[in-house]
Amino acid sequence: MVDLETRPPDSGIEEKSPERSRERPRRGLWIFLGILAGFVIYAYGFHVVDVNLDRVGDPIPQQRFFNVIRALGQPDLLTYQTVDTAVDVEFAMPCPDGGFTPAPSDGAATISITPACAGPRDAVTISGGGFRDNEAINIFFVPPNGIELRVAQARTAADGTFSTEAVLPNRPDDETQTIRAKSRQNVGSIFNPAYFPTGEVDPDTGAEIMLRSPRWSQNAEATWRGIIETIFLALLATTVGTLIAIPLSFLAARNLMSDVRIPALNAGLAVVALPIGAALGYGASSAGTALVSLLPGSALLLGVVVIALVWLGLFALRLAVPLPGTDRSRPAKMIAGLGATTAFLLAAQGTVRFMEIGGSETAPALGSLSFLGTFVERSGEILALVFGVLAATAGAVALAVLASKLSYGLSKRIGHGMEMTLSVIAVGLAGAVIAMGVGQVIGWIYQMTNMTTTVVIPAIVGAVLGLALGAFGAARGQLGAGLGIYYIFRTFFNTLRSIEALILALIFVIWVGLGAFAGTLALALHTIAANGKLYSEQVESINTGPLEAIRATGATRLQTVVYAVVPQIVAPFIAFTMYRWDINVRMSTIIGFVGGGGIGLILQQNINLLNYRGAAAQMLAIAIVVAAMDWLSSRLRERFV
Amino acid sequence: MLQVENLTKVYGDGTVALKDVSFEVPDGQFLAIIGLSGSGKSTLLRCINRLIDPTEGRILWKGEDITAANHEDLRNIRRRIGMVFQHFNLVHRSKVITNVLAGRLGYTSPALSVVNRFSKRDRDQALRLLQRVGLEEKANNRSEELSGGQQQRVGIARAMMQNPEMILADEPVASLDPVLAHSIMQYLEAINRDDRVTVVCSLHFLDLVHRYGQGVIALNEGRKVFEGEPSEIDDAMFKNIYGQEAERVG
Repeated sequence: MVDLETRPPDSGIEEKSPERSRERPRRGLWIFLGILAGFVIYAYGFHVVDVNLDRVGDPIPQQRFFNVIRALGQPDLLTYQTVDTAVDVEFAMPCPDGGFTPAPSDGAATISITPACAGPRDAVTISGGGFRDNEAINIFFVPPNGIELRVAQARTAADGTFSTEAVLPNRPDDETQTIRAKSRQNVGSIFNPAYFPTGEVDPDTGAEIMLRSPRWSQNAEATWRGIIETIFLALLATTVGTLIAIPLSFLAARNLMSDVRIPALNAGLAVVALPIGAALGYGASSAGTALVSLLPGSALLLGVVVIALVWLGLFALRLAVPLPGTDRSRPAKMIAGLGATTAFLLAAQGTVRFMEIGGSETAPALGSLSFLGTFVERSGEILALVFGVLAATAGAVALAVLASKLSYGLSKRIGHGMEMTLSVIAVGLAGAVIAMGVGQVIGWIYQMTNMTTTVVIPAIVGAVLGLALGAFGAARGQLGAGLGIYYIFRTFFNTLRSIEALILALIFVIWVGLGAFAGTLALALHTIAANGKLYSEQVESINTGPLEAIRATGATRLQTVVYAVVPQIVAPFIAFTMYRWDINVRMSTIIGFVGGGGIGLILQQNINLLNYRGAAAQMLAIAIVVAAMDWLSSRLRERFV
Repeated sequence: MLQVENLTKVYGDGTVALKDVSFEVPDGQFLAIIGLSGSGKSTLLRCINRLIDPTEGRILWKGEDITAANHEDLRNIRRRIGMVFQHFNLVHRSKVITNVLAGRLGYTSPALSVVNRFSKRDRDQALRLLQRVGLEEKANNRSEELSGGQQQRVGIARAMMQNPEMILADEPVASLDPVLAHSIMQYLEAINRDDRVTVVCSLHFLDLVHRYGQGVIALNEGRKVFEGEPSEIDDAMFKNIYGQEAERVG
């Protein structure tokens, strides 16, 4: 807590008054320059974006634009079964000598041709009546072979009549020919649907399958599938991203990290221990995998083994972490802890394998719910994939903590001078280790195989830098390790956040192929960065009083976080997560434009095919889902904050 | 015995909060620290349990050098020193009982406490302490639902949960209604008298110092300007501590 000192604000009234007269015109000049600068900036902006009203008024693009807007009002959602009504009238070509009088047509709708006969390529007028209003009519010339040739199109007026001109084809014939007017009608309506026999029989019931009219169009069904995919894409990406962002956000919170200062000796030894621990952890995980794969591939047996291992692990844990009041010797505790760790590791490996085998075994038996089995199997595969990474991380952290504890003990036993010397050496080693890691990354990127440039030189440079830092740090005794970690994670979040999810999706499409999986990975990664930053800022804005109080009780850092930080951030974290889900739903509607799956893919296809009525259905679906998410997330946020 | 030797604290921005302060507190004493706001009382108390690292000087307690303690040793020292704060510093969204149990964290295995598991003995003690401060029926309320005076009583119960040998109280009644001040101070007095816990308490009001303090030290701009018994503070000394314009109100 810093004691605040209040200082009277600088008051320079006496100094200012003589200058006032000169200040007036200067301020006017500044305002003038400001307006001038604004004028230039906006003029250049107009130039760059090419603001041009000529195109807005151009009739052809304007018509296209209006068509798109109209299409939005008529989304392609329903398909109707149609029936054609045909009205025929006799016709002669060429005109017979005695003229020609067609037989009168008998139905409600009639058509007549003027003149009643004509030569090839002559123009005739076709008029009709008794049709429905505003109906599309196709006029065909039908020669004796029966093949229809369309000669004109018309639309009926409000009274059901139409009249149009047509140029006849060059098909003279001695026999009487036919002119036909066809109108096409949708059958059924939403509230009074019609059913059509398909001729196919349902194998279960034996009844004939009937086709409903109207029914959902193919476009509507594709839209439904797309929007469902979109919602779940966003859900998965938000969940995965949040789960990773939360722990990282604590490391990027300045108020938690700034006072983490570690004696130089501890820090140096811990850094050196990191890669060794990671290798050990990864090795242990691989050994566990190998050991578990020796077990028979039966899900039942695996389940039994896993339960036994968990029980064993719990038993060992109870020995390792006794409740207060029970005393146990240190080596016994350590052995029990080791046993518990091994048992839990094997149990986890067994669980992963149990999921893989059990999932694939049960999937076929579940019928339409087989996706549940597949989910378990795939989750097992994912866990198997991340298990190695997790084990390596855990191993690294565990060994670093161990090294740090060892150095505590060491620094108590050795003298101050000796500790200083050891510290400088340890930090030098740590510098070499870090620099070698960086060297490896650079070597990988530029595909360098020369060991001197990727290992030896970085090691030497790192060691020198480390020794310098160690000499400086050891003099002060402590290294600001927390701030270092804070800057690393903040930089990571800020860098990653600046890459849009759409661009990330492009990269993942290259890696895992077109589809919603690529989109999910892209959105998840973006969520980690964006929410990681938001979360850490939330952690930074907590009330520090409880933090201080819990620290004063002698709690460890982890306990302080759990008891003083977590209760304060649960509500805002939930709010941010909801908000991110909202954003991710929005993003996932367009992530399909770059191949990331979801509804964006078919929306883009429809736009490219100029099928605006199809696209309208997708836009409608997006609008509904986004609005619904918006409403839902704001309601939930209201409840939690 | 708590010995503070030549304690100096200079903040990063150059503010000198404490300047060469030395004093001793015998075990079992109720020591009052007085001085104006910004005179260094809070800094002094926080240096004792190293919530703030002093720039120079030493603090010895029962033979241990607190200023030289490493991370692990410091946790062991801190758990024997309870602390009570001006703004209570309870976790508002947590239950009252959880806030009290938090006082036990220094003794609890980190793995178990992280999943909110405390031993039966700890839970019983927490309830007993809540009973002692008259709040046992509020155990399962959220602490933000409590009034200021109630919150400070929970703060005292949390400090007592540590089974402390010393309690540092930083202006424990400054943000409370004056009529509540005595009730809170009486809890501290009882702890000092009945549980033989050393209390180092910074206070604003001189009448509270006269009533509860067995010894007094006074700070002015980070320097110790008085050390003695409450009765020794006469009008001249008062002006010396609080400045020439100050008037006695209590």
